Amino acid sequence: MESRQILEAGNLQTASMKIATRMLGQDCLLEFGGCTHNNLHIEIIESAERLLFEIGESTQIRKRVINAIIECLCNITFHAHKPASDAIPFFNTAIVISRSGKMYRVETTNLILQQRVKQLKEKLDTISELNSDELADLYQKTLKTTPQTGSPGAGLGFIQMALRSKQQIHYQFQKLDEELQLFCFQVTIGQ
Amino acid sequence: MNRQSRSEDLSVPRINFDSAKALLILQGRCIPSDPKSFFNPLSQLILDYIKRQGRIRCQIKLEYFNSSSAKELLSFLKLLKEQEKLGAIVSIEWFYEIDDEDSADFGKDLSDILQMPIEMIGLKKF
Repeated sequence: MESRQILEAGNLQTASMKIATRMLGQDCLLEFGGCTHNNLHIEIIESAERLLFEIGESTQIRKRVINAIIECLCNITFHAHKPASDAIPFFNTAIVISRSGKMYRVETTNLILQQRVKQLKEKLDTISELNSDELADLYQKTLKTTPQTGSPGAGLGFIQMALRSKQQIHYQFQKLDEELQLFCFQVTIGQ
Repeated sequence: MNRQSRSEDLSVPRINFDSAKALLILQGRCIPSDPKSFFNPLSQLILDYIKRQGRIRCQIKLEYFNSSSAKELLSFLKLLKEQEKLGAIVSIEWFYEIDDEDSADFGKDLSDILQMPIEMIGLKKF
């Protein structure tokens, strides 16, 4: 409360202060926003794992949270839009890992090309309508299937997250301009 | 020949290959963005070895693996199964943390899909 008063009292509003203000009252474990790349993904994963160890979280939940982070970061690597002029594969993205009671939430937001939205949305719509048995069947079927030529991922990540989380996945697309949309994805992991 | 390697790439597992014992151990995390770049050379190395020696024992101790790697791992194990059909002696051991039911389930899934026995070994901690 004291921190909030200090933040509200001052006029200085840096980006980090805005983040800190938003985190007050939330059990935010880790928040990252900016340019990421594969090595930084490893650091994010290791940081989250250390935090979950320190919290004393069970092996099963710790593994499920970390696996969700891994799949979210893979999706960013495979599907997020990056400027063509970048020689290094940086991805503008945001990832938040938070906890509410015994539930953990992994959220990511990244840019996606307009032309890829329809296919991704159809896939997520299909997954979100399946029950756990149907998800398990789809997972097995997709695991056995050879990926399409040129497909960067295995097509398993979202299915696996929905199956293991045992919760509804949430996603949203927000149009930015004729070329790009923001893709927001959220998965919850609990007991 | 005893090969132990740890790539600078922290997203791939350690490979410990003891050719005298025909023992291959994969240990660590397997979360590369391009899993083929890890599994293709490994597959070639092990395939060449099996063709010469006629046997392999494969221990898999993966702490984490991404879904792309899961598919490549399945392809790698299919390769071992093909060699078994041709007469090689192949054994596969899947290690998992005893509280990690997802990893245990995945090991069983691999066995079902491949239709070959995989020894499941639960450890308290990796």
